[in-house]
Amino acid sequence: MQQINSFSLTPMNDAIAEKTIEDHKYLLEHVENRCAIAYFAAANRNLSLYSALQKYFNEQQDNQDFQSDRKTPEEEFGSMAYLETTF
Amino acid sequence: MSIVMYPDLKHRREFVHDCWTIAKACENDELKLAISRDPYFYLEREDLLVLLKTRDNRMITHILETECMLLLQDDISYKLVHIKHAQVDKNQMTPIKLTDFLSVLVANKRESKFDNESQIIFSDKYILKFLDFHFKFAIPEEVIKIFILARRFRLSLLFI
Repeated sequence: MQQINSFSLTPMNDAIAEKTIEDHKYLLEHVENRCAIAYFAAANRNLSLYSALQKYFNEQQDNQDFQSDRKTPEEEFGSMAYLETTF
Repeated sequence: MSIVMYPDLKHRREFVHDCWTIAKACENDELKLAISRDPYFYLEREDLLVLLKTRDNRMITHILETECMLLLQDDISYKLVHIKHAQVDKNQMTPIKLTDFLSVLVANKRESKFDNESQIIFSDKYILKFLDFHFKFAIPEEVIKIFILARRFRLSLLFI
């Protein structure tokens, strides 16, 4: 928490904030750390860090949506069509 | 925190409250303490119940010492404001007192309110122990009123 608080207190621009989020990716695995970064960024008025975190999660969300949208040929065209195209 | 700076964080109180819910669920003491010091921090009766269920006495003491705000949503909360002789601010909030915790304790004796055979979570013995632990915040007159309001006459006699 001290680490998160200290880097949220550091003045930074958007580029540095994105790099900071990238460097501390390992922290973002835990929900409590994500929450702590969002909270300390907001409380310490670090807009760049808050926006960088938001951007990171939007990208993650987009990736997840893309992966869930991608269907296997079997799901997309039906099992018979899949067999016909494969064999 | 300014609205201009965080245009998408208009509901600042809800944001801080959500952070609290996560911090409490993860039982991260440092984060809980940091959030509880936020000027936009508030709790609901449900949050008090969670604190009591998890026996988080350290945090309860901190909340009582710092007089965090309680969001009034139920009728009972307004009755408690009268008992506490407190004031309600423009956001429908009032400082949390031991009376609020006691009210939640007596209102949630069992796991399920509507099942008389469900497990007792806050027994009379526990409530008295809780009162003993936080005695410096207790106002006996208010405590008795809470017990009588909840029709817990045996408990009020035990307390006396």
